[in-house]
Amino acid sequence: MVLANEIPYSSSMNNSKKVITLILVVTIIQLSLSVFSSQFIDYYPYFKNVNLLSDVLVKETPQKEIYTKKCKEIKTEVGDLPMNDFDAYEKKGTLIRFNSDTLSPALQKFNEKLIALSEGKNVKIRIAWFGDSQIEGDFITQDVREQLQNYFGQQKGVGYAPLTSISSDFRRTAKVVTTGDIKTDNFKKQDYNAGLFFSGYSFFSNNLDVNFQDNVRKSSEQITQKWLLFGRGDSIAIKLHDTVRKYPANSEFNRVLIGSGVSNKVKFTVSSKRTPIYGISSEPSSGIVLDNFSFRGITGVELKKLNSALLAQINKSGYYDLIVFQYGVNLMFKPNDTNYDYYYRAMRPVLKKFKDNMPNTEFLMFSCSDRAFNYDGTWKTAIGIDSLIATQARLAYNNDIPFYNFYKSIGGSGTIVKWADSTVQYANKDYIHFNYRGAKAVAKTIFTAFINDYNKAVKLKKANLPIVSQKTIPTKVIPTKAVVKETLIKKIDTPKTTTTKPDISKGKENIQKPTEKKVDSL
Amino acid sequence: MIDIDWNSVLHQLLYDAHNPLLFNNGFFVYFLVAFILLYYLFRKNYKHRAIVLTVFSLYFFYKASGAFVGIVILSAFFNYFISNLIFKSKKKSGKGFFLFWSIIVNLGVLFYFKYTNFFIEVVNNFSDLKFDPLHILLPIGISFFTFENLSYTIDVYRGEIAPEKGIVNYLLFLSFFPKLVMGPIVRAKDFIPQLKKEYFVSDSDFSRGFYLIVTGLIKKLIISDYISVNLVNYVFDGPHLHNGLECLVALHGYAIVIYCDFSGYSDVAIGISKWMGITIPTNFLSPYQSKSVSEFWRRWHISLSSWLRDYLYISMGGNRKGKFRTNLNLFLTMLIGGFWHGASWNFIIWGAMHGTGLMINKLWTALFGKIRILPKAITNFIFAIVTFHFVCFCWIFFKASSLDTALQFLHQIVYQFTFDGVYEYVDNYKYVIIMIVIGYLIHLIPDSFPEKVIERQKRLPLVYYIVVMMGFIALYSFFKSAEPVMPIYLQF
Repeated sequence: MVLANEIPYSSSMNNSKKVITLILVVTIIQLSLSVFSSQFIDYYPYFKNVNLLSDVLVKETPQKEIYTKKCKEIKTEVGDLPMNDFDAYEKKGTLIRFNSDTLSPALQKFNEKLIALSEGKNVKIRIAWFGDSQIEGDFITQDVREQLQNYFGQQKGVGYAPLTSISSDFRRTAKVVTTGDIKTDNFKKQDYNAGLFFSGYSFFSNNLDVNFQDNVRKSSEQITQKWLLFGRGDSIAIKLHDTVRKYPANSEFNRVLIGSGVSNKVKFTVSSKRTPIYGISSEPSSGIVLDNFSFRGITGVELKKLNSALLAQINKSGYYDLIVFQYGVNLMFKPNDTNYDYYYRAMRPVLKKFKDNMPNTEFLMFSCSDRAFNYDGTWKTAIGIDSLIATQARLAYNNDIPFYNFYKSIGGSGTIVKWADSTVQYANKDYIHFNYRGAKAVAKTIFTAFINDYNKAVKLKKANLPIVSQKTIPTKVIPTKAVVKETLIKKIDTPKTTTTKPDISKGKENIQKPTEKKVDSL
Repeated sequence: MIDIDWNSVLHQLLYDAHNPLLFNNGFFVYFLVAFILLYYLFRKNYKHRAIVLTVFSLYFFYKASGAFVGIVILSAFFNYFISNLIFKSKKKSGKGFFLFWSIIVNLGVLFYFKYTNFFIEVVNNFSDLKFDPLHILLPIGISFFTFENLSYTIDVYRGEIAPEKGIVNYLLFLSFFPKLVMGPIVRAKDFIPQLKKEYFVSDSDFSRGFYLIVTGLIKKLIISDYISVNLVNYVFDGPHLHNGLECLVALHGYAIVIYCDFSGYSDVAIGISKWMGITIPTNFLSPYQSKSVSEFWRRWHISLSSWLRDYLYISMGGNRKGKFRTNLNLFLTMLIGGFWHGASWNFIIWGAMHGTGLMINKLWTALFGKIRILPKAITNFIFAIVTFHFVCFCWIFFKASSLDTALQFLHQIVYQFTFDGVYEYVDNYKYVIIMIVIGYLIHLIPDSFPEKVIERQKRLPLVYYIVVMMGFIALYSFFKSAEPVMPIYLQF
């Protein structure tokens, strides 16, 4: 739009009175409408955005406060339920095991192994970290990994990397360059009906050149093992240093050592027509391995697509010591959602499947982080977030899984808005994702929680007390806050019986000495 | 019926860092009413009128930036006195001496507030020294009023104007509230004389002011804010989460966002000024219609580009020192102009790219300017498309928070471009896309259209203006609580 030059005013009459009249009339109309807004606001709710009196009227209680108040009222009404243990989910900065015994660590065998590692024993501790786009590109996990590896022995390695993914070129910690035709199945698209790995991916190729580089900084003397991971199929051919070798793929989870040395790179060609390739793992021979399994836009329910046989096979080998579930922001896609019972119903069988098939592994469930929506022109924490976290805590509690209140630990309500809007940003303007700086900050918070838990185990050990608690939980099934009233009448679950977990140490031995065995069909 | 919280009323009168005063705050309505009543009351006496306008402008500044209002006042006093010293100096060297100090102090203040942390970062990155960044807040409008001060003292030095005698008028020139936050950059020689004239608003001024205020607010508060919040901000914050198509659309969205935001604010400032009987020159002239980079800079943020031309480019020698120096001056002017926009490498790169663009533009014109192969309309269309895309390309660096983010954004467009999921994308972002299209259509409106509207409006009764203004308020209220469009993070 262009405005031409000025027109001389000498011939025109003075409109200054018209200016003041227009401003006054419009203000008086708007002010009158504001005074009487209660009469018509139901017909035109948007008026609240231009109500001239909204800043100076006595405030009504905001919607979220009403909701929280309601939750508290419901809680008081059901005061006879043994809610105290469950209420621990609101604790920040610590891993929660839902019992009043705060001296015991939430993770037990995991911490025992950490102690062994800190004592210089040849132990490998492997963590599978499930998440959504919040951890894409190894965000958060790269920093947690770095801090854990720095703290426990300085043995470095990036862990798992898929052959390709939407974020592979963004990821700084590992680089995989492939040349050749590659077919992919994943959580959202299963054209080849292949078994998927934890990453939610499987790859096939007739002939694929793979160049892998582990970019995690390590000492030049440290030896890193590079494994190719693959699933059940006919066989897989790997060309390494001009030598082609064929490996059977009889098991749901197989791995071949394709490189072991001080180099952080490996180059090979793989041919796998009917055998799903899972990816590469680059890891130290002992120490901590943290595998990032990010998949954009998911809530964790998608993990039901993983075969029970794969879980059982991985369990048998004792491959993973700990599995972390970090989901939630994708559940808050509607600003006014407050009931996440559907998620409870969908996620519960997934967790049960993991628990049933992987008794050798410990689990840890994260609450969602903060997410904000634009409520009447102002970005605020989602009003349903308390309800979602209670639902997630309930999932953890009812499945005997320790819990981490990620939301509270990073600052609770208003954090993501503060982080996205501050001059030095810690989060993106979608009010969901942490940026590089924010991811580093939350990783530090998470790491501190892990170390707090570890320190509890150390104290018990020093006092010659058992780290593995005999007490098992839970004895009651806890409903979400939002539906407590409903479930008072109708119990939706039966009390959980506890089982004694088998000793896993034997299965782990095979993994801890991988160099002796070039093909590891697990 | 209504229950007034008098504490809140009191709170409203004070500066609130979380809610600085802008044109779209409810408080601005009260501010404007109180101001216009007094301004009208003192319309006969220009000195009293200037005092009213100054007091309200300083209060506006206080409500927008808190205690930093002191900097404007100090800055006004300093430049008022030093300009008199420059004027009174008999010798050229004496004038030069005071001008030198004027430049040092004005730029020193700007550098302290705007660039200290940038240079700390540079020193930390390129040496073993490790300084902690300082906690410095940027006073609103400092970039604008620094340039206004400089143009004033340079004009006095060049003998183009005599210094203003009344300190109030100079203070008002600096703090004049409509242009305080985002410009335009006005020149004292154009502005101050108008203060001394009768408060006169012609039919055309009234109509033009109204047109500019309403369309400016629509551009800024509806189009720009909607596209910004619902697409551009989060794509630019996390380009890795979006594929090439999403990034490309966000980039074209941003081109509209920055134009509507900036030109919308300028239009409102110019419109309000018109209603006060003060004319501020046009700041934007449909810049994306430009057929060359140099034309773009004659249409984009005109008050800045003309400032840079008059006080930087010409001061460096302009085109008077041979071809090489001309090009170098052009490049340096744009580089410094880029840095003026913000303290980061991205703005420097942005400025350098435009500087290079201008040099190529000059070279192209010299080599091929007279060659005509295709019909003029087609050539113009091709040049307009090329210029627009060059400008868009440069916006990536302007908008991205860091060089890494800008490169990631480019990477996504080049290597992650896909039409997969395009239906989901269009479905999710349909309203944002419609808004972007509206933004471009507005931009393509022929230059004669607003003039016709302004001319026709002049004959319409007051009730027309009231209805349109109320219509705008209703529209604004609707968009302020429009359901936010959430990112879909396409993967497939």
